[in-house]
Order: sequence, then C-alpha cells, then structure tokens
Amino acid sequence: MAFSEADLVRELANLLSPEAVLSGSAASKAYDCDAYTVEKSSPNAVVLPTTTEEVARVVKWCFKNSVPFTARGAGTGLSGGVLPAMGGVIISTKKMMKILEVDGANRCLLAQCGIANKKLSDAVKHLGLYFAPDPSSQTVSTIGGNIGENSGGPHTLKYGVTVQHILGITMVDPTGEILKLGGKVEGAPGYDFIGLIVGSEGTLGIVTEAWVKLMEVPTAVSTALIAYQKVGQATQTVADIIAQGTIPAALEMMDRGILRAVSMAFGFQYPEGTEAMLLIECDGEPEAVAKEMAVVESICRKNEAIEIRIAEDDIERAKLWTVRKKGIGAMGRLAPSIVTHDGVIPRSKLPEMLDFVYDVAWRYSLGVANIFHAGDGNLHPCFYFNDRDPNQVQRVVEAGEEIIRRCIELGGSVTGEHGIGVEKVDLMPLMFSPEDLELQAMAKRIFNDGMLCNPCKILPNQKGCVEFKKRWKGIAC
Amino acid sequence: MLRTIQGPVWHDSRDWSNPFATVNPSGTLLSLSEFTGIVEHDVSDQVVVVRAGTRLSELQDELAKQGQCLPFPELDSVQGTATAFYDDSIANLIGYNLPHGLHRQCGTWRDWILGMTVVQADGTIAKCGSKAVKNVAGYDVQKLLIGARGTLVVIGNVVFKTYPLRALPKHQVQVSATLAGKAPNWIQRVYPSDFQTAIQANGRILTAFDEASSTLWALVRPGESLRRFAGDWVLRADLSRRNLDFSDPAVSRLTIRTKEMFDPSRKLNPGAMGIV
Repeated sequence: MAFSEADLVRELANLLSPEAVLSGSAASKAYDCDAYTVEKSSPNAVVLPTTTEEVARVVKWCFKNSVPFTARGAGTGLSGGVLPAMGGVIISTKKMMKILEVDGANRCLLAQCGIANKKLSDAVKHLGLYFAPDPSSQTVSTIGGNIGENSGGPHTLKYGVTVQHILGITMVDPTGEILKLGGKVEGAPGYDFIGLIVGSEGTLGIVTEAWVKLMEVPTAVSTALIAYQKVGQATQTVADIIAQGTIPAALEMMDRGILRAVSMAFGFQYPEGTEAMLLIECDGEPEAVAKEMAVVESICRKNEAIEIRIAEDDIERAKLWTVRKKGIGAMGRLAPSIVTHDGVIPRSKLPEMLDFVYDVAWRYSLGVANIFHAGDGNLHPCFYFNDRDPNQVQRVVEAGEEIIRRCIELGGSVTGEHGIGVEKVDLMPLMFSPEDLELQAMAKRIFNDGMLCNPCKILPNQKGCVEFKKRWKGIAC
Repeated sequence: MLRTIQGPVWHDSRDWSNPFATVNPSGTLLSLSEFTGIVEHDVSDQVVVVRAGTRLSELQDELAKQGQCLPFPELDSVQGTATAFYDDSIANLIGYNLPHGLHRQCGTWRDWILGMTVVQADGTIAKCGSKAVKNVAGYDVQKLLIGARGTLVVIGNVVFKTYPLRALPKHQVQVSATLAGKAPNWIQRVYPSDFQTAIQANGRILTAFDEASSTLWALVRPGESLRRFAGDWVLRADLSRRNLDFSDPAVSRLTIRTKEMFDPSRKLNPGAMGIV
C-alpha cells in the first residue's frame, strides 16, 4: 500500500468526515477478526459510511489507489469472512441501519444492510409479517452479513436460507459503481446475479441495501421436545418425519453433551439415560399444525421416545427452545473456550457421523457436544477447551479438520452455514477439483477481477495471499 | 466434443412444442436426447442425480415410485398448455426457467438444484454445488446457469433435492375460459398489489393466471404487449429478441460480461438470451 496510515486516514476523512474514520491501535484491534478468533489481521483504517453513495465514494477511491477493502457488518461471522486479510480499509455498515421503505401490500421491505436481522421482523410485526431467516446471531448480525454468508438458522428446513428471501439488492461493485439488481418481486429474467452474490462472502462487491421478502406470521405454532435413549432412535425419527412428507418448521437435535451443559447452566431437567433430544416445531394454520404435530408424535412414539413435551403457549415454547438456543452458550460453563464447527452430511449418515465425532474427541482428548440442524444434515460439533494452551488449540484445529474431511467422504459439504472465509479456504480442494474451482473463479471475475475487494477469501491459492496468510495465521489468540 | 466444434453450437431439446423453446437455432445441433436417466437416487436423503437430457415426466415417474417428486403443479393438458408447461428435457426446463403454478408455495429450480456437472464451451468438465441439501461452500455458480438458456455451459448431470409427493400442495392456477387450449406467448409477473388490476386490464388475452405468485400468461398479437406495471418482470415475450427485457444498462453490461467469461467465442446457443 502506497499510503502511510496517517495519509490514508486523512484521505478517507476528506471523502466522508473525520468522525466517520477510525484508526489507531484500539480500532485495529477491534476490527482484526470476527467471531472466528483463531486468525487475525489488522486493518489500516475503518470507515463508517451512512449511505450507498458514501460507500461508493470510498470504494472508488480504494480502487483508484489500489487499497484493499473489506465490508463488515456486526462481526459475528464464524469463518473469518470479514478478516481484512491484506489490511487496508474496513468498510463498516454499522451506521447504515435504516429501514427505507415498508411495502406491506407486497410483503417486502427495503433496508440498509447494517440493520440487525431481528429488527426487520420487529418493524413489521404490527402487520403480521416477519423476515424468516433466523441465524442464532439474529439479534445482532446484520442483513448485509446474512446476505454475504447466505445465513441459515433453525427454521431453514421449511423456509429456506437467506437467498430465498432476498428480492433485490443495491450494491457497490469493486470498482465503486452502484448496481441495482432485482426488485420487489422475485424471478427477474436473465442471469441470476442475486443468486451468485448472496453467499459470496462480500467478495463480489458491497451490498448496501436490500429488498427482503416478508412472510406472514403463522397463526399457530406447536413445539415439542422429545427425549431418546439412543441417538439412532432420534435420527430415525428425523428420517421418518421427512419421508412421511411432513416438513416441520424446525427439526433440531441435541446430544448428551449439550443437555449436560444446559442442565448445569440453567437447571434444565431431562429424563435419566437420555442420549439425544429432538426439538420439533410445526407452524401454519391451526388445523394443519395440530394434524402435523399428531403425525410427529406418533412417529416419535414409534421410535421409542421416552418423553415428549409439547408447548402450546409462548412461555412454554421459550422454555423448550432454551435447550437449543442456549446450548452452545451454556458450554461456557465447561471450559474457557469453545469452537463450533460446521459441516454437512446426508441426513441418513447422522448416527454414523455422531459416532465418528465422539471417536475424534476421544482420540484428541477434547470435550465435545453436538447440536444439529438434523432436518438438513447440518452438524455443529462444539469442542470445549482452554485457548491459553497452544497444544489444545492445535488439537481442536486438527480434530475439526478430521471431522470436515469425514463430511466430504460421506458426500456432504465443508460448510452448511458458516462459510469458507479464511478458515476453510484450504479445505476447498477436498470438495472441488481444479476445474471446479476455476469455474467458480470465472464467476467471481464477472464482478471482481482484482485483489482489492475482500481478498484471499473462498478460493484457495490466490496469487498474492501467501505472504499475508503467514502473517494472519501467525497471530493466534 | 465441444472442444473441437468450431462455430455456433445449438444444444437444445428434442421437443420443439414449447412456444418458447426456439430462437432460430443455427450451426451444429448438440442433442442431449440420448443423455438420459437417473444416475442415482438416494431415497432416504431425498436427493436424485439425473442426466439433463431426461424428460421431466420420466424423472417424475421414477421419483413417484418412491413417493417423491419435483414440486411442479399437477396440471391437465389444458392447464399445461395455458401456462407453457411442457414435458421437456430437464436441461431445457432449467434453461427456460419459466414460472409454474407452485412457485410461491414450493419455490423453483434455483431452490431445488443442489449441484450440477457442466461442460464448458471449451470442453472442460466441471461441477458446482454439491449433493448436500445445505451448503455454502464456494460460489453458487449453478444459480447463474438456471434460466441462462444454455448460453453459458452445456448442463450434464443435475443434483436435485426432491419433495415428498404426499405433501405437494394444490395449485391455484386459473385458466381462461375464452382462450382454453391456447398457448401463451407472453409471461409477466407483477407486484401482488397490481395483480387484480392486471387481470382486469388484460382479461381477454390471458390464457392463465396464478394469484399466489402474481403471474400472468397471455396470448398477445405480434409486437404488442400486456399492460406494463411499475417494477414488473416480463419473463418471456414472444420469440423474437424482445424475449428478454434488459432495460437497465448495468444489467446488460453484466450479462454481456458473463457471456464473455463463460463462452468467449460465443459458441453456445447464440441469440437465445437476446443480447448474448
């Protein structure tokens, strides 16, 4: 980079305002990683634009002056997607939190991308509408971040992931031009650029505004928490429910490690001998929900469930969800640090995979607990460890890799919802051949033909990243 | 083979009955009509891999034996004709990406396709996506290829997530009484808030409409159009170069750039996307 940090800050302040630029050691430390804290790299400056035009101004300047830039929302990402790999400028969307238009009649709204996911639903609650994607981070994670990562959540089984809910976007391309794609209704003719951009981890440009689809809040919801003595009984229940033709809104599984943690942290009670629990939620019209839940119950009983708790009101429902939503947080009681992995396998391979995860944990002498989005085979093994012990950190990384490799062998994916970022860049060749990766690189070049816009993410072996990689890999926390 | 063919290659259907299927094919015809059949069907995981030359009805028949399907509406022949829904090859149907009567309820191709194996214009074989029902590894190139009318790659195998047949909702497509049996040459989607006005304004020339996805199918006279509404999409418009409406110069620029990236010699289905 041809600029000294002081020059860079001055130039950026001229583009926006002095208050919209952060620099110095506190800023660079605060923005050197996301929730994936194993790898870090400091930015040279952070800008806080308030509009698409301001973002465009900064990007145009960066492009002209060959300064790398990386967009960042709330920083809750789990794969280092917003790590400023080559330093440069972090373009934070923190000050872009406005809802610009609500169109209740057409069930959509236009928002700036720095707004938290949950705020979208809050804003249209009075219209009986909501925004369906619900990543666990939804109270803070931004819609821009959700678009970047194509975020999922427990309700994706029935309602899809973020891409299914984005109708139109405004973005600043890597040269600083403003593009508008899609609109208020889905299915624009021509190449599906939105489909490519959602999930591209901010490497194709910076999405600044989005028209999102709103769904009608279901009139009835029924939630069940079911206990099993054998993991296989729980996974068979999942398979039977799907095969039978029922698509619950959520179909989540927790193993004994999670149950133990939630029990210790929140006094959660469950039958002795429980090895796995399912959380199943059905929603829709009251009559349909009752019918679906009856089917679910009978399938659970057939698979020898030892306890079925059904919540009919919101208070009871929140209680049942505690075990799922607070499961990972509760693990904080067990050790100073946890790492949540993310992999996907065919649903039918869940029992086999779970055995494998326990075996890996045993071999690496690590504690493990598992949460699954069982309906779509997305597993989140969580290792708990002491991050001050480099040896333990190393074991956690290696154990994680072994699990991901197994996912691929079983016909799955290296990531179901956390993304590639920098964490899994080197794992991409496990899933994709050089030809496959070149096809992806070609798609990337439609928008981004350089190394400035969120460099060194997703695709392995990018020129110019090797030297930087050593640097960011070296600063483990 | 694509590596050696010089000049344009029209890779398309064996079924020309769809009014939107053809735009003056020229050059070498690469037929996928023998490239058919299911490669694998994992019944319990509800994932099927199928060769792209397979007819939709063949795939649906095979899936039905296991209680599964792709969630297209079950239409009689009048309804099918009125909504340009034909039993074509999987490659063609993906290429047209036409709306169907369960779009709102069950999504469409971009929601069901998990992965693809494709042959690029220079003959390179590559795959995108995976067989996992949930996957965010890498760029979703397959989405770019849906609705691309074969202008970017030749689609080989397609990985689908299947749908339980018994959960298939009922469609709400309404067929026009006056134009029963007629095929549309125009498809348009409007905002839900404009839907009733659009029906009233165009009543006599509509062949069908679907309120759930606010889609209109119509038979317009050559050179004419349905009444347009702010922010609407014309998804197909007769058979000419007008069949895609790129009014936004930025979208045109991106479209041309995409074609240049994927098919620099402009070999594949020239003219099928209007400007590329």
